[in-house]
Amino acid sequence: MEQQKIDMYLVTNAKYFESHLIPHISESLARMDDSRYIVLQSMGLKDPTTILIISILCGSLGIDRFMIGDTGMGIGKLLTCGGFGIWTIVDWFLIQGRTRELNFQKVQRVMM
Amino acid sequence: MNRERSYIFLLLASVAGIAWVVANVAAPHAMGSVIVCPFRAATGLPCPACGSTHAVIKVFSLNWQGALYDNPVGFILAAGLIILPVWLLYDVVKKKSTFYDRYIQAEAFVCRRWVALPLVALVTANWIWNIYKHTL
Repeated sequence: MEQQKIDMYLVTNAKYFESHLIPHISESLARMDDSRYIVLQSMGLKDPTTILIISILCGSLGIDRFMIGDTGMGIGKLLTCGGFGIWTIVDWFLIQGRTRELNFQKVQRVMM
Repeated sequence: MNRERSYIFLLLASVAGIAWVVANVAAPHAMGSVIVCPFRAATGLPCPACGSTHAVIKVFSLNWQGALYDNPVGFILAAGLIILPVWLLYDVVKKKSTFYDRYIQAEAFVCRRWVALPLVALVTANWIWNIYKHTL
């Protein structure tokens, strides 16, 4: 893929990934076929800040976990009053990292 | 989350759950006044799982009708409190990942629309019933 397209993608989407993974994504994009670029751009990545707000507002119902695709954990939170409230608070600090991790996994499946 | 981290997390969660139930059985008056649900603390309304501690205790004392009235979720949690630690310890001792594999399969199964929609409807109905019981 052209370097210009890679740079444009990273400038637009860097906030969705862990910063240490950006060089890896850049390398993978360089190897990727041009035809997959549209698929990559149309992927619905989750914004970590939005998920954090949802986690603070209704994390005890597991909605944050459901939204990022962690359904099992979401059910776990929902059925335990947000893990007696402790898991809810812990997730305020972990959910952004987990969102970025799952965004990367989602993008990786297209890039492979 | 990978297998090791999931197992550590779930084993700790199981221990915490068992400890919570034991504490509620041992000192029901002291623990009864503790509100651990952030949703209930913030809004004053019960969440879909509120009342499940009492339901779990009633399941273990074979008062199943009382458990069903308190919260049907109690049956799932009681089963989880028994099965989960045993299954996880079996996997750890045997160095297998039978639980983790089933978890991944179950997660994919639950995400299917025809499974997810009835489950959401059930949880919503249980929540409405929980709020109704709270207002009585």
